[in-house]
This record gives sequence, structure tokens and C-alpha cells, in this order.
Amino acid sequence: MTPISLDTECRVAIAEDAESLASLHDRELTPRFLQRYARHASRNVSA
Amino acid sequence: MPATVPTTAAWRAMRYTLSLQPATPNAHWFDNLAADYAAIYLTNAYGASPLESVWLDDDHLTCQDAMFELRAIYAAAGLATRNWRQRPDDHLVLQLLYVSHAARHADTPDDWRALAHMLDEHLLRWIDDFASRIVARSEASFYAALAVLTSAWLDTLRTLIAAHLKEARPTREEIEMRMKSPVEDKVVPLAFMPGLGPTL
Repeated sequence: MTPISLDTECRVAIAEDAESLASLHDRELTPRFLQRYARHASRNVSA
Repeated sequence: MPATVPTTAAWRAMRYTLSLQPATPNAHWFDNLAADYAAIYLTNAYGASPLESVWLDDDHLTCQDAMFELRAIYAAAGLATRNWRQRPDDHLVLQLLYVSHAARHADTPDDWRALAHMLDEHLLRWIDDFASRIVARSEASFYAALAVLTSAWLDTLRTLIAAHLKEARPTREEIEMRMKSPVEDKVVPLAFMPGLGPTL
């Protein structure tokens, strides 16, 4: 198993991803929210 | 997060399903989404409850052991659910918010180990079944993509923590053994049998 470091940036990214997922499961979706999330999804695919 | 095969596939599915959104969002499209939302999160019409107890309890009841265990985990972190009657502690959303909080505040290996245990003993024991059920039953593709993405993301996070701690992930069997209450194996001698003793 290769050791890796979960630095501050990584921890924040994990926290934000978890929050994003929580908000998508949390409520009925609005067009504005979905458009914002579409940009987030695109960033993750291209990363 | 590292781009594993499952997470990349899940993100692509999510991007694809979002691309199906009409350029000018119409009421019909959002009605379908709202119907799916209700079927999953409000009425349990798909049998895909966002509550852990329903998946792990022998009788598939809400507000069982998982809810109390998670309440204790949240309390140890100084957190509490706003209203457990409206949204019990074992709801998927609350568990994801706890994961967010725990990751943001994880400083020591023990902090990561505690989060790993929470994932092993709670979310990762049922999220795959939740996602599979939604994929099989949902009408719109959005919530299917979201459930698969959530499952893949949590699995990747757990692998990431394992690599960080240099500790292998436990198998499903090991986790189930760990979760098995020692009380279950204890033979309790029968202290009273109706009709065998004098009536007081």
C-alpha cells in the first residue's frame, strides 16, 4: 500500500465534495442549482 | 480525490445526465426529477430508503440501532441533528455532512481512523444496495447517477484513508464480525417459566 498524505487542501476538497453530495440528496433540485452542479461535475471529469 | 475507474465513470454518468437538462429548463423535466425525489426520499416508493436502519435492521424498521450509534458518533464530535423526528441521525444527508465535518477537522491518524471506522460500520455497509435499488427503479437518470456517484466516492475515500494510514481495509466479513453484538452469542439461562413455579 502506497502511503499518501492528506494535506489541508486535500481535506478541504474531501469536505467540500461530501457537502456537495449531501446537498444533492437533501432537497428538490432547482435549475440554478443544477447548472452550478453541472460545472462542478465537468471539473471533476476533466481533472 | 484520486480518479479511480469507478469514480471517473460515476462522474461521467453524472455529467451526461446533467447534459440531458434542456437548455431552457422546462417544468416537465423538473416534474420528473421531483417525482423521483419524492419516491426516494419522501415516500419510499422505490424501497430505496436514505435511512441506514431500514437497510441494516432485521425488520427493516426506521430509528433502530444505527440511529443511536450515529447519534453517539456525532455527539463525540460536538454535533447533533436538528430534529431527529424529521430526519433521523442515520439519514444519508446527515452522514455525508458528518463525513465532511470529520474530514475537515482530521489532524491526527486517530481522527482518520475514526472516520474510517464510521464509514466501515455505517455508510459503506448499505450505500451500494441503496444505489443499486435506485438504478433499478428510478424513472429519471439523475438520481441513479447521483447514488452511484455517492457510493463510488465513499469507497474511494475509504481507500484513500487506508493508503494514508498504511492500514489495509477490512473485509466485509471482518466488519460484520466486528459489528456483531457479543450479547447475541451469550446464552442466557431461563430464569422463569410460567407455570413451573408458585404463583406469588
